[in-house]
Amino acid sequence: MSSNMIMLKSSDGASFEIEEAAARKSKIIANMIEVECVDEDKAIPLQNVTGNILALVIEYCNKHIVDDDDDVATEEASEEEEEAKKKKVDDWEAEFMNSMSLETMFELLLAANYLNIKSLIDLVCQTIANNIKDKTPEEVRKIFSIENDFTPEEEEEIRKENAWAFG
Amino acid sequence: MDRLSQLPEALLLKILSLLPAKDVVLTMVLSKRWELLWMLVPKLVYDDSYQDFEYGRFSRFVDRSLALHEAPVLDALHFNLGKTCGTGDIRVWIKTVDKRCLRELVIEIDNKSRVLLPRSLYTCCETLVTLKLNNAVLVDVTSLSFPSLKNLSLVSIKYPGDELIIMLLSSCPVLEDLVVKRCANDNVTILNVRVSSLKCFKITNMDVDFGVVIDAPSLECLDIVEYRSEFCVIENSMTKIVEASVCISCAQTQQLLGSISSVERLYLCIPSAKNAYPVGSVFDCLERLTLCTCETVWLDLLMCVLRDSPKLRALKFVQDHDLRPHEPRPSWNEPIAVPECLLTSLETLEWVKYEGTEEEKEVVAFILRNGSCLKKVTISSKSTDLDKKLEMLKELSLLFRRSPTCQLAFN
Repeated sequence: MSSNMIMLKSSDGASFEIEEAAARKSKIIANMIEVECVDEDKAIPLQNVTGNILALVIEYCNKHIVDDDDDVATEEASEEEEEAKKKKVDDWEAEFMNSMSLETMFELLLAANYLNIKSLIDLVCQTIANNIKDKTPEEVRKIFSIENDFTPEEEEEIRKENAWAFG
Repeated sequence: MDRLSQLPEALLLKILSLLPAKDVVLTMVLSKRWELLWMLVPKLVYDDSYQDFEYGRFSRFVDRSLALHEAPVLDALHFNLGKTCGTGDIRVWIKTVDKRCLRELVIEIDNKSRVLLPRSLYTCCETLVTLKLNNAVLVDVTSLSFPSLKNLSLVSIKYPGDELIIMLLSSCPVLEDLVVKRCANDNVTILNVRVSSLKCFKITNMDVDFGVVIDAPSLECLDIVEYRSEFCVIENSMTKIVEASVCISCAQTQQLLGSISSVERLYLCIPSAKNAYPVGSVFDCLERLTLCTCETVWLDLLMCVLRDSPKLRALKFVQDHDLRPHEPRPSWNEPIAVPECLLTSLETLEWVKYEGTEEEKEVVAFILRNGSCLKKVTISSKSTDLDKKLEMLKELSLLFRRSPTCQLAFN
């Protein structure tokens, strides 16, 4: 593993040092490194990500780079070990997502999307989906503060037209 | 503030594609932003046990939502059917998505009586990359075509006969990954797997006593589980095999093991060393060996593989199956020559469910005594009795270690 450190700079001017291997979880940063846009002494400016969100992104990347290393070391792990390890990662991810507000979650999703970190996009989308699953439209509106801009008549009509879904 | 509705459409569709179709459709009433969004979701998962509504309502729900759905490309369509689903329903649903460039189709039937899949399944799915069927009945056809199919999984399927599988596999010119799990009375006598593009093949035979013929020269990964069959024929040597797992309870495995000699990672659980082991073949590339110790002959088998694997780096013992108490355990015979890999390459030894029996102790002692490059030996005791474990640890720590840097871990 490369122990090269690179610097990232958030939109509000905070600087973060991160291992190159962890930063490569972001396709955007990995591309920058590939085409040598990265000056060793200069921080990479990330215009769309604030410091508090970037800190979360880095926490996620650091955690998962360690896990990837484990995989190499125990290639021949048995199913039980695999399961135990997966459970550990799952528990960490659940705790990580649990610790943040919905507001932060959306910021994190947009940052992951901008930085193109697929596994983090998947994780946040799954967490948001879990908040929609098995809920009535009223509950979903409430959880996400969605303003219902249908008139009562319009909504009634949609429900009637689609009685096969709402009935 | 409503952050959810403000997300880019691609992210919203991604979130929706992680939900059961029932929840996806209901979002149409959230607000105007959402009214038409559900029709563009690229993945639809229908599960008739979800929210427990009766079958008539469920099938109407599938009919309507599929008919109204508008995404030009449907990435994935999953059906989880446990109730009184009929061939007719599935036929209509597949027909509805006919022109939608479907890439992944999963039909899982969780029902005691299997469902006959419609004929249209074979012809309407030219764009399918992944097809997974579980607990269904396939009908006989004269033509079928899966030009793009790369992953095929057939679990507990009943077939009209051997011929259909031959036809099915020969109509998949780019198939890479095949999973077959047999079931009793599936009407297959010999499973013929002749696919030149195949890279991974997993077969689980369960209690079915029939044969398999494999001709897959590009195979990289072979996994044979719970195989009790009379015969297993390999028609061409598989020189690209990297990983193999062989758990077979028939005696004739010589040819099979002989044809995977390029393997790098190998798991073995076979009942006989005499007829099962290919004398004269060398596992030149083998780096990791995992051996199941449930069979009486495991010790003979171990010595054969150690002798013929000059580059082995990691050795692991597991006990994945219950021991049969009436069968004798093997006794240790000191080999005449020390296997080359112990002197030049073996770095790790791991023992899961170590019991401290005589033969186990002898094996550990032999490897520690001769392993010149050993770095780490990890022994996990099967017993949880502390006194017993302490005794084992004492014995192990007193053994002579040839490699001065070898660490011993015990738990």
